[in-house]
Amino acid sequence: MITKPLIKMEKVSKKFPNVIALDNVDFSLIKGEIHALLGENGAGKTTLMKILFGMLKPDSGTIYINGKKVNITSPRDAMQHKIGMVHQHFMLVDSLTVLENIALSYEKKPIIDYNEIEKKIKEISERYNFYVDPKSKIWQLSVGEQQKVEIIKALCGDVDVLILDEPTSVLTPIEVEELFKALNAMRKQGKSIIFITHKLDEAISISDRITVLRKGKVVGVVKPSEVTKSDLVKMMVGREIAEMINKDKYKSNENNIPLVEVENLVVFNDRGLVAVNGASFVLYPGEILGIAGITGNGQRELAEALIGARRVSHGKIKILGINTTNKKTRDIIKLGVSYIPEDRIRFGILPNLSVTENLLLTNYDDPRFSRKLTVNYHSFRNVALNLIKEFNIVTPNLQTPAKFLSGGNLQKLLIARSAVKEPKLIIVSNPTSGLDVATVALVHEWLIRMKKKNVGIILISEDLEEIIKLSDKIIVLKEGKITGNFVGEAKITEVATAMTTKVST
Amino acid sequence: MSGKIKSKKGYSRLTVALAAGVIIALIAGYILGSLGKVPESNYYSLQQQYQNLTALVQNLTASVQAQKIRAAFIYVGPVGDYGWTNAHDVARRYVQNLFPWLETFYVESVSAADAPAVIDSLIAQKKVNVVFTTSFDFMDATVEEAKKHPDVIFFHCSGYKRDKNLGTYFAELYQLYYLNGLMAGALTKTNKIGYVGAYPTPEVIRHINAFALGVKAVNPNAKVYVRWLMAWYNPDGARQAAQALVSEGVDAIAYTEDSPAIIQFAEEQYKTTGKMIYVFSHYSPMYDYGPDVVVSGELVNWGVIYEDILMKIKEGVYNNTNLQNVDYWWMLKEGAVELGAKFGMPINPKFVNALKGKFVQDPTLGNISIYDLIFVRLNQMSEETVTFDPFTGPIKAQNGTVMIPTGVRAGHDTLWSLNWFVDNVVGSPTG
Amino acid sequence: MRVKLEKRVQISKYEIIAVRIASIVLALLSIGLLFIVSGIDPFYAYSVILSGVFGSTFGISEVIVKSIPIGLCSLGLSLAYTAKVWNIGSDGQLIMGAIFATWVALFSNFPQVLILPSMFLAGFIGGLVWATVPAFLKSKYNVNEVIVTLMMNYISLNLLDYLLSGPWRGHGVFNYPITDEFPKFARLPSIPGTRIHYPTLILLILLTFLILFVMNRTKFGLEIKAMGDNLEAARISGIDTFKNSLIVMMISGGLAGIAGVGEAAGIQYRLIRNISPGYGYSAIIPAWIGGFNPVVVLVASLFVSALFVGGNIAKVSLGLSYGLINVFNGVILIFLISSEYLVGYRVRIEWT
Repeated sequence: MITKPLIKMEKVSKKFPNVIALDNVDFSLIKGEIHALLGENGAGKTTLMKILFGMLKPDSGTIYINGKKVNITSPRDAMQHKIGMVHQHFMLVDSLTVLENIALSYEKKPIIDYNEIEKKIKEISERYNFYVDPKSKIWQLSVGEQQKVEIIKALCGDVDVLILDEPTSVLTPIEVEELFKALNAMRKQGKSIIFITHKLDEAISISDRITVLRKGKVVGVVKPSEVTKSDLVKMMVGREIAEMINKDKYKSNENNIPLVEVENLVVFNDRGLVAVNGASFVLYPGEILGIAGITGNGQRELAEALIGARRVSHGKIKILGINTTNKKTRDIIKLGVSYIPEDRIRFGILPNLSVTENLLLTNYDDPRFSRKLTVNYHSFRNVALNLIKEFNIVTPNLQTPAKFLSGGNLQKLLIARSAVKEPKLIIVSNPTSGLDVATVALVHEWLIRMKKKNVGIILISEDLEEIIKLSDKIIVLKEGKITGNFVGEAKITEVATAMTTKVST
Repeated sequence: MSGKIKSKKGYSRLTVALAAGVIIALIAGYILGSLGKVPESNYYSLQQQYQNLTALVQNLTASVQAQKIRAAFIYVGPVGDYGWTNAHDVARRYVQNLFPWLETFYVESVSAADAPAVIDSLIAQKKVNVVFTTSFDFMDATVEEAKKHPDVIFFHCSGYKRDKNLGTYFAELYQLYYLNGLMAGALTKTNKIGYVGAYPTPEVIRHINAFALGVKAVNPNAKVYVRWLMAWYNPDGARQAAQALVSEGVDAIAYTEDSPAIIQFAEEQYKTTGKMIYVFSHYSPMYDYGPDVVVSGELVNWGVIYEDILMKIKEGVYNNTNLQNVDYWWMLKEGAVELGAKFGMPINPKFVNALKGKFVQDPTLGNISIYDLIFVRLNQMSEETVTFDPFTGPIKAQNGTVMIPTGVRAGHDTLWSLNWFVDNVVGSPTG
Repeated sequence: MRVKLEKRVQISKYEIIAVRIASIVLALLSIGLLFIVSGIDPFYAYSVILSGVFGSTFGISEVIVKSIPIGLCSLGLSLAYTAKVWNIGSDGQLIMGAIFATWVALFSNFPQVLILPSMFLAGFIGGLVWATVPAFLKSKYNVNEVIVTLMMNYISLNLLDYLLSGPWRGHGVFNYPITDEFPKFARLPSIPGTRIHYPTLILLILLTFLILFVMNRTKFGLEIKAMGDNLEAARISGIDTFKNSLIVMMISGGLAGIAGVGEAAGIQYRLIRNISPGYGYSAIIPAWIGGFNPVVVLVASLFVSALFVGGNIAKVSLGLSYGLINVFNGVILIFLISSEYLVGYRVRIEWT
């Protein structure tokens, strides 16, 4: 097929301090195609698209649109060339309505004609089956709906090319389906779509062509029909990666002593609203309990209640047979509980402190490297060095502030931290979000290894596949209530349905 | 004119050379010291040379400047304030112009903690031989510095500690406050008179008492209501205090605060509502801020005191050994203070008729108009032999105790340590 | 030409120092322009100021004298700021320290040999007690400590006024609002020929290293660093953030209180209203410049003190108005604080 490309990027290079983000990258986009840009974190996908969208200036290279050399120096330039982009982090004003947000980015006249914009929103919504109430405020919308707003916002600019940066990472399976339907509709209308992702299945299922990037270089441009999943993994990672699956699923534990017993738990969130609403479950040693659900349905509050960092208003928690309801976090940690929180930057990492200090955060009162008041940094040094080796944490040295580590290395750091004291219970939340394939495998491998050591694991995750692959038992959390309960093998569709069940209040 | 920036060419070069020398010596010393390989003797000879050089430079500059009187003024506030510091600086400029043999320096906005350092460096760098410290805050510092620099003559304003090279001086206003009190007592219609005080110091208490005694002399029914600011300079606070007093029915206000805020407030009231609040300006000529409301006030002329002190130093009357008992306590008689809100205008002409139209019965003067009484008292207090003093008994405190018995005139020490109010004052003398 | 800012991935200690020095040099150059505008030869001005500050034992000793209270307050603030507890109340805590110490000096019947140590202890407690109120309100009811500490400064000033014009007014002071002088045994000795009350100086140096040790070697130090860096992470790691913010606030108040003792017993020898010319506020600057590292903060305190002493010297030698001096000090500090940005970012100039 020889079609003249709509967009052609030639020999694009971009250097960041200490990293070559893009090295002579070629990329082309044909009119009416969905083109997946596949690669691990840090492969240069977003950088390449930010260059196309005028947010970054390449060190070298040229961009052609319809065969004409263009110079895109700002997003405004890009929009004039009918290119729109939906970022991974939304750029919406929370306190304004959908309509106002869209008006903000397009109306340049002093008086805004809201009727006209509303008409346009309606038209786009109908055309792509993509409904959002223009009158609702952004903060009232779910993440999925907010993404729709972003997409509608881009389409309002009459774009020909729409760039989506990891659009599915925040969506429920149902929402992903909806999005894909809309994308297909856009393709039919002759729009071209660039779809940045690191998820193989998505790339294969939606795209017409896939460009694979690895460490700033193009590894290949393929058609999904011509490659297998493992081919793509090899292209992305540079080597074969075995997929980790929990092979010996659920066994009856009737005779064991329960590790965790949660009874009728009620917990409030920071705004004083009910976040966990009467949850009960039991976990035995050597089990992985998957808690499925979209973030924001009470998972964080549940986890924090379990480790004593949030007040339990009703109900009871027992860990190792001891009543730990509203006990001090420190004492619960001493029982052998490790918590690896979601959103590592926000809840897990001390960004300006060193790798050593981060590793010490939950372990500094371990008698092996502390006295009554002081910490023995010297004796911890070797422990830290071993952890770095064992978990393959890439860091210049032990003194490097954590903020300079990549997401994957931060996650490895958190896992290493929780491995210092042989834990009996691990509570882990979204452990692989945003990680590359190799690191995901490493994390999964570690969880299974821990399970085999008879450690109980509570795996909270938005990634349904991950939950299905690893869990012995699954519960689904929706608006603080348990809406699904599966033991042993579970079907993804069943769990997904439970995730979207309407909760009666 | 002033000694602000006196940098004769030679002196400037010398200082540059000196500073360069110091820096080079410091760096060299540091490097040599840290290398540790250089023989110690070298290091010491270098240090010795540097010290010799410094001494030489100091001797040179000292001998050149010995003939003149070089006087430094240490101010607690900025010279641009509208009260205390400004009045001193006006006087400094006056003596600077008057004496060709005098060179003056000043440093403004000096805190009590910084005063010793500032004085030290004035003596070291500017070779001053007379230092005036113009705030009570500087008392301890001045005493210390006087001990440390026995060759330098010190004068401290408003304090009570003296030494052989440290005298004290003060221009006292209570006579004027008494005269202001006479006017306030005569003019008030509500018989409620306000006083906004800065701090309850003996000085302010003395002024309030004198003012109240004046009020009492012409209007025994009127009371003086006191509000404390706890600040020497706080225009907003002063304004609020005045507002509060007025809302309680006060229609005449005197005050101690270094701004014309209260006068401006009264003038505004007059202009916008026609309400008359009689005010008395404090310390500086503030008539222009309220020509419709300012009746009179107190003016100070530090110039005459500085002139006298400096003359006597120049002529050798005062030296660094005989100041133990030198204490200036100058008032109307010496011309250190003047009645009015504007130099040369004792009473705002607008109010002259009102004062002429009111009469009191005086035991010795008979039936006399307030206006005439004011000038009789003013003259009595301005004569060589002062024949009238407001603080003449019987004077009772608020609780009715007789503090100054009949016929007795309060002495300096009593007036210096007043901590009670006379009986027509409403308020606490402790703040 | 395009000037671009790039985030620095890593910065070495030497680069940080270089940036700092460059910012000071730039500040001095800009002030030089101001000097020229005011009609003063900048070389002359700088040589006068430099020789005044560093060229004599007098200048150096004055810098040290000022750096004692500033350093002590700054040290305490560094500890609090490390835990992101924003104590703005050092000045009030200093005053309370001075008040408590004055009580010991003038009104207690302690044996004479115990007076000075008790004054330090009392001053520490005074500052500590004063800081406890905002600390408690902060950690228990989440009341903003910036506002409370700031308000407490004014309360302490009013308390001082009350004491000085009422119960504590001296007997031999002609009713002025000052206390009597401290007896000889309640005064701190000074290095002869200077005003350096060396016991407080020694205390400052010891405390600097003590706090360095606390920050870098103790569990508590790690905890407050963690709190300051990521409160959420600290909380879910089981750190008692309530207790710790209470403790840092109290220690920081106590150190300011010790500064108050030094001023009362080492400089004024009595309690006066102007016991602090804003040392507690000035101390915020070195705490930031020093990046809360106690030793660097101590050096920064010396630097800030040198600025003040230099300002006084400029007032004396160049006859500059105090307003201009404040502008100069402001310029230097603005440059220094702006350089914070350049520590995190690299400026690249592209010629196109």
